[in-house]
Amino acid sequence: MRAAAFLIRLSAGLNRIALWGAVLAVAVMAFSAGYQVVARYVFDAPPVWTEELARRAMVWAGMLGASVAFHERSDPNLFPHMVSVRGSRGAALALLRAAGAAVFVLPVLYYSLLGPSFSLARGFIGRTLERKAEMMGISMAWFTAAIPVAFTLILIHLLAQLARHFTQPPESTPA
Amino acid sequence: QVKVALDSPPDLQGSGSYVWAHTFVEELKKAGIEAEEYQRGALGGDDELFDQVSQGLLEVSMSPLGIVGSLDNTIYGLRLPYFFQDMGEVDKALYEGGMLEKINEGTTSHGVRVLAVNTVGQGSGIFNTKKPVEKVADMQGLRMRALDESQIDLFEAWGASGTIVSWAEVPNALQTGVAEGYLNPPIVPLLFGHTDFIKFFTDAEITPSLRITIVSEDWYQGLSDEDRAKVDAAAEAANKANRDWLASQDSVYGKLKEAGVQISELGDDARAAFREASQPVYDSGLVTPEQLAAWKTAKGE
Amino acid sequence: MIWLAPAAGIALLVSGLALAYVVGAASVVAYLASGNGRYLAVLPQQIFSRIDVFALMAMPLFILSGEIMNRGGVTRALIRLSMAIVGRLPGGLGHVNIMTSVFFAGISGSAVADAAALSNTLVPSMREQGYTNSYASAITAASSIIGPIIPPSIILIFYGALMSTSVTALFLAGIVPGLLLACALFAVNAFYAWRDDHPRLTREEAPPLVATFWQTAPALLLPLIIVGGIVFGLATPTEAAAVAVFAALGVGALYDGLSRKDILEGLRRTAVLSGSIFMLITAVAALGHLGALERLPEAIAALVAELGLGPIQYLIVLNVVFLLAGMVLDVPVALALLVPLLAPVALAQGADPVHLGIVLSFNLCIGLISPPLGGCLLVVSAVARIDYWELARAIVPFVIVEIVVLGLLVAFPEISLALPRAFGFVGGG
Ligand code: NA
Ligand code: NA
Repeated sequence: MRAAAFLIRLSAGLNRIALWGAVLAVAVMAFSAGYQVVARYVFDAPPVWTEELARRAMVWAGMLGASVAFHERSDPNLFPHMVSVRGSRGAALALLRAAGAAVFVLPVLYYSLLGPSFSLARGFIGRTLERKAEMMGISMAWFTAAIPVAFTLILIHLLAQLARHFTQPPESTPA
Repeated sequence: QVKVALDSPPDLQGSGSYVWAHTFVEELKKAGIEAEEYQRGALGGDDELFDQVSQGLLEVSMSPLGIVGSLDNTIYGLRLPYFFQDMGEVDKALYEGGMLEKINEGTTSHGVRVLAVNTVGQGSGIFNTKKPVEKVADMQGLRMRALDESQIDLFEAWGASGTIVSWAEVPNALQTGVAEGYLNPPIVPLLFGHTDFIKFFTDAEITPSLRITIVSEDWYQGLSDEDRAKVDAAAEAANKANRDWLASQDSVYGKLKEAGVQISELGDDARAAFREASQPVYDSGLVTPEQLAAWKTAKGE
Repeated sequence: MIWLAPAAGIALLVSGLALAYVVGAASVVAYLASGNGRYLAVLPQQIFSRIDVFALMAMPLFILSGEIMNRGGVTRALIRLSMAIVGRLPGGLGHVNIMTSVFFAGISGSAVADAAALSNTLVPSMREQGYTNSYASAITAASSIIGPIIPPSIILIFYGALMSTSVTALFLAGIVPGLLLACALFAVNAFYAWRDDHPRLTREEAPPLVATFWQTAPALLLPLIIVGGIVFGLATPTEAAAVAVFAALGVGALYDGLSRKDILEGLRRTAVLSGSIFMLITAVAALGHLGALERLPEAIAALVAELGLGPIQYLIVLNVVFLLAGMVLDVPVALALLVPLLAPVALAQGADPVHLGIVLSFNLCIGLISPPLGGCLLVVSAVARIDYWELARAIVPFVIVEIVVLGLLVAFPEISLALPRAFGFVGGG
């Protein structure tokens, strides 16, 4: 019970942080893309980093946004009402949903961190750590990290949703 | 089974990189090693292919030069303007001067080996939509599409300006004037159908036009000595086919003219002036002074 | 063993798991069941590469500009102008609904943004005037797809990026088909107004034309800035999407003004909506990679060759496939999955890439308002609080008319191609 409550609080807290991160990233994306146009006509030579920064901010915005969408259950869903089914049938459905999401999320997380022969250095993040972004000259890992971060958040939300299903009264039906 | 990811349409007349890949696959098959071509884009974009190679999930990929440069920038020596006379000099630096080995020192620890460097056409020249360029001063005021920061430096050194546009947006950018030109080998506007709006070509031969063949180091080292010799032999045959193909490419100028592109040749003085004006790129940090020295030694300077 | 993948997919879908995760899980199962488990290691890089695309950025940016228009009063200004022009006709608010979508289309690139905006504002007004909720919702959804046909358009940008086709040409090509679609919907609404005796606005309810026009003028400048900026070469389509955001902010400040809360909420919605779409793109990309490893594209091309389909027959088959795909898949997903697979064969048979782009996009747009998935239907049913399946029934006549318009576009390529040709964007005769 205590663990479940902690998990639910953790998920909500992390979601708030992710939401602010996503909002910031969208703003950065819009400003650097807009600045690129202004710079071309006002200074005649746009800085080289605007395109890349805008694109990479979009990656962060999208991945964090995806985790928020998972948390608030706003992803496109053909049978959204199944979420409010309770009782033993509801429990089975909740477990099935969690298992399904985990089947997708876990391999992504695993291969983000580990590469061939369980090597951290050759996992996705390890590989991109060595690579430099084209124009900004910093490690690609600053951007590729968006993927394991978002999928970790989703995993936590997933567990919290499960915890909530089994410890709390039904939520109102999602719109 | 060896998977070879293509980066161009399977066109033995138009695409030098396909000539390489196809010869390589056929030679492997002849030697009894199963190999298969995968169409451009089927297994993912350049970054994805590079990543799959580095993990040993894909054996061979035809890739852009810059992608290896993101691991180790030794290879950028091949992008220095007016550094190589011709493909012969490139081959000399790579194979006799040991630069291919030097490049691989920086990449094999990441699971990626550069197996070969391929030509995809004559040296790249200046394409634009505005005016004939016959001397450096004609570059004044042109806004060129740039690939990266070193190209912007180059354009600025010529008195033009550069703007970064991703390849997917290049047709739009050229049609609408967001960019007014680009550097490319003569075949590119023909291959990509840009001749509707590209009107002028200057045969400035700035850099050789190259793509590279990368292979998975895990796969390469895991081969038996006998198989590795077969792979090396296939690569050598592919190199030869690729260099022979280049010799057959002079018709491309006629095709450009047919497509309505006006071609300007540079006289010796004009060429020397371009070479002179390109010097700042050598100090722009594209390669370190040590790497530059290594390249110079390797090509026999 | 491979049957495990669709079986798992169906079970998960019915369990109420979001579609992206259903597709993702089914892909993972398919990799394992087909003995390709080790290739799962490509997933993280693949997810990154599919999103790290400059041309894709137009999507969140046009979502954002739509959000800002709705919150800053631009949408309300457009509705008032439409009321002044067509509100006094029988079925007035129905016509207003369609005409607002035409104006909205010149600014927004997204049908979902249009559907969300008008189901929030116009559907309640229509209900008050005595329209049924299902009719008001159906016409809102049906006309929302004018948004991505008239430029700017996220769908056309995406197609252009996938096929290396000029987005500017695609944009020009979309204008006439979009207006044709609007005319067809005006006709349907006029028919229902006559049959069900729908009300018109009274003289007092309809705003004065000339005064309203001047009030709306700044909002009407937005499409000129955006589309003109692209056609006359001041910005690429992606950049124009960024310009649209700031232009909408500026015009919004002229009207209702935007509070910090409005802007934050717009940014938040943009991130979450884009995130949902990105997740779908990545899940489908996982499946696509397996298809490529197993040489599915080659198999399809071979199948077409074997069936001996000519250009016209193939185009009709394509239409049916895309119509069905649009019903069950989200638009970017359907484009990402099917265009690279199916379009090259059509081009090889001599189809014009610009015409093909318009036809396929129109197709997918009809999918947006067709069950089961119909993205615009989902949005309208959620915002207007109408049962999804009730709305799905009410929209059927509109869908039929739109399929007829699609038939015209297929049969007469010039409807799409005349304008880009006049601007010199389509080669040949
Ligand atoms: Na509407
Ligand atoms: Na539009």
